[in-house]
Amino acid sequence: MDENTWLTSQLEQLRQSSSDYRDQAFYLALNDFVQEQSKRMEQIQRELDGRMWE
Amino acid sequence: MRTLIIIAHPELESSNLQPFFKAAVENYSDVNWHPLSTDFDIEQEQKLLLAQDRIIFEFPLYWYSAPAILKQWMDSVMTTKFVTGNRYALSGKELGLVVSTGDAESSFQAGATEKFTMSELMRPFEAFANKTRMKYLPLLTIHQFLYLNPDEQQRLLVNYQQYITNPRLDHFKDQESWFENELQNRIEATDPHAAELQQILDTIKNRQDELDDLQWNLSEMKKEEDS
Repeated sequence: MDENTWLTSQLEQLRQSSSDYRDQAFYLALNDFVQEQSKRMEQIQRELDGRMWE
Repeated sequence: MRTLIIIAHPELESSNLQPFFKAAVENYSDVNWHPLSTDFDIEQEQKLLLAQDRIIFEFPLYWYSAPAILKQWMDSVMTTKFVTGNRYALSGKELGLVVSTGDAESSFQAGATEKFTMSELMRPFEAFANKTRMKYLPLLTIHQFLYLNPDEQQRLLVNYQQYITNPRLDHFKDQESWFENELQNRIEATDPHAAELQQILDTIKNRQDELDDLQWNLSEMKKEEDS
């Protein structure tokens, strides 16, 4: 399991097991943040690769 | 960071949004929830403002502006002597607006029904911040709260918490700091999932270091290409 999948699955489990509405919201938003982190890493990596081959 | 939320809502009891926001920040000790009434003590209000780092005006949109109660309060409390006199009492503090409306976000743009953006409509507050040497924050606008699905409402809750409590709102990295801080607080509060949260926190920090490295490499590569 890659890191992103592991984080997502952990955060989803925490959200489901939480009875507090604010905690559920926090884990959802944190998961969104993790996805954005991944997207940015991929984008920069692609740009770096692209520039190296220019 | 101390934040004062000034609520200007003539029908607070019937609002769906305000209790939602109130509950969102009730566990933050440095947040002061302050609904306006027509009866207030000017000196007390000024004293309260002086003790803050961030001041929020929170209101439903009434005819493209705030409800009259906010203007009345501003006209009385924000005396020229207080805000621009010798001291510029609010200088360096931040001013944020949380504005809610029943109209769709897409209506607030050139060519659409409302014609103007929310930022354009809120110009008088921006001018006020400028005159008083406050830092004007990007707006937080809520469109059609009751139409949001449950996930969108939860996302709004966390956005609002950040708007009120995150000392910096400019960059992605500032969001990361806020999330790390929140995780750390949960770990220290002996959350039953503290061990998992610690693992999550460590992983997110490592990923952020990785992202910082990638950004640094990219900026170095760009510099080399430019030279």
